[in-house]
Amino acid sequence: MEEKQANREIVDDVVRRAQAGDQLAFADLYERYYDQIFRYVSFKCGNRLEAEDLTGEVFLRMLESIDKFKFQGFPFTSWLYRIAHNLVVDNFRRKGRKPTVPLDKVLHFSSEKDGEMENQAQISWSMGEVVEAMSSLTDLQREVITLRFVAGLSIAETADAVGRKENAVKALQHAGIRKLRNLMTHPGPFAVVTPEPEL
Amino acid sequence: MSQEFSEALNDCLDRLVKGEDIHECLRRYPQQAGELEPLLHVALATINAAEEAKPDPQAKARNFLRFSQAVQQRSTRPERWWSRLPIRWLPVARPVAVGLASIVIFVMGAGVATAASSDSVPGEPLYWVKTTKENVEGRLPRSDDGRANFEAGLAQARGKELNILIGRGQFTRADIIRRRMNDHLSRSARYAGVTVSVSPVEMLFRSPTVIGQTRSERLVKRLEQDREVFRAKARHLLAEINPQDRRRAEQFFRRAELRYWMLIHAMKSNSPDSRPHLVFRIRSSGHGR
Repeated sequence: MEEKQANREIVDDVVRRAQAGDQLAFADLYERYYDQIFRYVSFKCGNRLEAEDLTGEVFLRMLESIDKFKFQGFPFTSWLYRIAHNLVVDNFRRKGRKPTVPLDKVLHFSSEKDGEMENQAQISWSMGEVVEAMSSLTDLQREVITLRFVAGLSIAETADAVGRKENAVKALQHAGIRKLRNLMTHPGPFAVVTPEPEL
Repeated sequence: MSQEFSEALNDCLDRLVKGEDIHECLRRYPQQAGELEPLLHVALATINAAEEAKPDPQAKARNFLRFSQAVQQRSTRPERWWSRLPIRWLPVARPVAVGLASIVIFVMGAGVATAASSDSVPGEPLYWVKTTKENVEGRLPRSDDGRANFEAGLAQARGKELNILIGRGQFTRADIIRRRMNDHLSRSARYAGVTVSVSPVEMLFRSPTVIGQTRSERLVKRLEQDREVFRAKARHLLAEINPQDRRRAEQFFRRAELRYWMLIHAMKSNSPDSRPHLVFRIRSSGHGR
């Protein structure tokens, strides 16, 4: 907990320096968050090239509006993921399509995996399989799972990013994991992801 | 989901995200291990799958280049004045700034258009700006003296237009403008307390009692000056105009000047018995009577 607090103070300091126009602070933020944001965006849009473009856009958008970020309790990370989420949603709207799982990544869950699940053994999913499985979750469950396990945010940060209380996020997380587990043991047909709502 | 299980699950998930092994997590919660384990496997599978999504270093470098260029542009951008305001004013400051800028641009644009329109004549694109300005100014409250002077100013403006139109050979438009000039002069006389008729029989003279003697004298002086300017310009134009248009132009100028002369004469006369002389001449061209 202390480590998390210390880390947050460091990030807050970097953000303050960035707001003051320190170019190195911007470079620091980029290096800190680029990979995380890329992972998050990749999971959301399921296309590497698109994810690269959108990740770049996230940082440009962050640059444009960093002056508006206020230290009012919620962390910078949540704010950054909110930008990323909105950009992904805008991108889907602009292109007039729903996010779908790329076909080359999609695999049906095999019966072998069912057996593995039954035996509680270590399981291994491809990214496409996870994206496919998550398409069956509700929008909020999917968002929470993505922020928690793909972006690595804490419950508090996730709660800030999705604008819900921590207990609600815990419940969404639990329900999401249970649903994913059920999908793995009883795989269904491919589902199409519904558009994400604004957070 | 019990509170205890929820806390255990969340703690284990936090540890998994940080890289702790599933079995180490389960050892912390032996009572819930059976229920926790399948969920933690799913979470770990998701975390591991996310590791697949590694950014391409070249794309990351490319994006960084764009980002750092944008950062440099940002640092050279001048600071906006509203960014120094307290946060509660920021939502208001920007629309206010945009509104003020729009008003300034509109006023400046209107000012430029009005200035540009001052030399326009009928048939030119900006003439409506000039007449609109005059109409607006004409609606402002003024004293009789002010109105008399205002109408005299409009007559002067029509005189300039008349000169330009005749110089261009646009006699039809010139005739309309001459009539307007006369109307302005008549109104100027009316506000000065003088009734002017073109007919020497009907012409009535009254002492300018409405606006007072001093003001009346000032108005007369102004009208005389305007008349002299008008005559000088007319003379100049008549000297340059082609011979076939000269006579027609002379008639226009003479008829236009007649109203000046009548008004000045009427205002100067204190006697109701006085009658104006209607014969006058423009000497410069040599064609005047």
